Amino acid sequence: MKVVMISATWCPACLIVHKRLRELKELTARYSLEILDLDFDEEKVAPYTVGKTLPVFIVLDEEGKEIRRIVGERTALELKEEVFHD
Amino acid sequence: MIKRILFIGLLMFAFLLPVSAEEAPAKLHIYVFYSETCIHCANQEVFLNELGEEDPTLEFHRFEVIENEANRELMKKVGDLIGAPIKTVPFVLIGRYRISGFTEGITDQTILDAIADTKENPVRDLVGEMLGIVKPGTGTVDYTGGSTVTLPFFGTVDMATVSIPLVAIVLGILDGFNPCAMWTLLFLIGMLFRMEDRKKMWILGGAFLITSAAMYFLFMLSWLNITVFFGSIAYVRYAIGAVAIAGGVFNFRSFLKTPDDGCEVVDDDKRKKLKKKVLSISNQPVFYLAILGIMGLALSVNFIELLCSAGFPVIFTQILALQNLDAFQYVGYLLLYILFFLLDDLLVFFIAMKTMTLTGISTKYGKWSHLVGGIIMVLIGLLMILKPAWLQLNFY
Repeated sequence: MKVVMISATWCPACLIVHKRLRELKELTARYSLEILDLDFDEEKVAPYTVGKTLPVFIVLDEEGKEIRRIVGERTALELKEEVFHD
Repeated sequence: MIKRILFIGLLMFAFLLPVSAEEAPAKLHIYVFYSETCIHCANQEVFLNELGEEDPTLEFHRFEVIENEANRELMKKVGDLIGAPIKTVPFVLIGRYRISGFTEGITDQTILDAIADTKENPVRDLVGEMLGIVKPGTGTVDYTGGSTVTLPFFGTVDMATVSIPLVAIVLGILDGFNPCAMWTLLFLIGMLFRMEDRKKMWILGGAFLITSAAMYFLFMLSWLNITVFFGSIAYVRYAIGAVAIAGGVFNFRSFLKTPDDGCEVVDDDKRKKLKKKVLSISNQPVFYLAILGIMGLALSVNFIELLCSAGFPVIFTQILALQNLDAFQYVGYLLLYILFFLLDDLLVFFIAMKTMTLTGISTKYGKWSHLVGGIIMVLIGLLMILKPAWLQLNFY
């Protein structure tokens, strides 16, 4: 399973979530996690149609199909429950 | 016969004898320090003259302090006596009330309130005692230290000395939470990390922050001068009060609009323009041109920030203008405001430079700061229009 996180350097909520992801290193290692920057990875971000709020987590299945999308700042526990689960 | 003559004579001159059937009301001594050349003193004088005509129990003692050296000395002595140096004129001492400056519609009401309260609760007239115009030990309350309160952890605090710094700190922090400049700074630091030259990063980041502070300071200083100059015009105050209320409403809107749990995506064009600017600065081979570029960026960002913060600096300068402080105090309070305005930026920058990691504050705090800021702005705006004397923060 693959998780794409879209964030930005200027977004404080994204910076907080980056820190929480580092704390969940063991859990996130079980997934293919790709972190994209809204401003510096424009081509890769374009297909995902980011809305009005960052960060965005997009969970994809083996075939690359979007299973779920979680938008906004999340606590470590919420990341476990909402993003990084099968 | 002689007795009869004496009795008639006594009756004839009885009007010369003191009559004590009804005791004359006690005089309230009011001490006024002024300058012949000060326009606010002249305005105050008109008001005090009218007051004196209406209320014969008031006795004004006037001291001109620019031309008259003895009065200047006396002003210093009075300042020492009441425990607060007198730095500006006009200055009026009524019982325990020390009123400096004069703004029509504000100070006149303060003076009336002070007179009413002092008549009701007479205090010991230390200045009158010093001048020998009242008997020592008159009055019921000793006014020295009347503005102190005891707070947990801080102990005894003089509210008159902490109130303006407290306002500077609270408004500065709320203004600083405004995301406009913060996102630019984070963007900038993110780009600087790509330079991998610590010294250049410190200089460019520092130049951004110093230019931001300088621009904000100059704007606030200019605005303060305008406010002090036009401060006595009630319509100017009403207009600033209206700006404060509008700013408060804008903050409420931001509170409702800000996502509960994330960052609002900044407009695409705005981001692209900023990215282009920052990239050209960080790639600039001539370093002093890069510094100039970053200073220009700080100016443009903070210009938008001033519009974006919707009135905090304007409100603070209006509150300062109501205090009638001296020039050094004005500058000191402006610098204090700016220090706390930049505090979050400074913290983010220093932590980023030390740890080479960007850190942020949870969006939730930013969202709630809009609500707190909105409430404070609306309250201050209403006070400016309806009860401006309360904003003079006069705790005496």
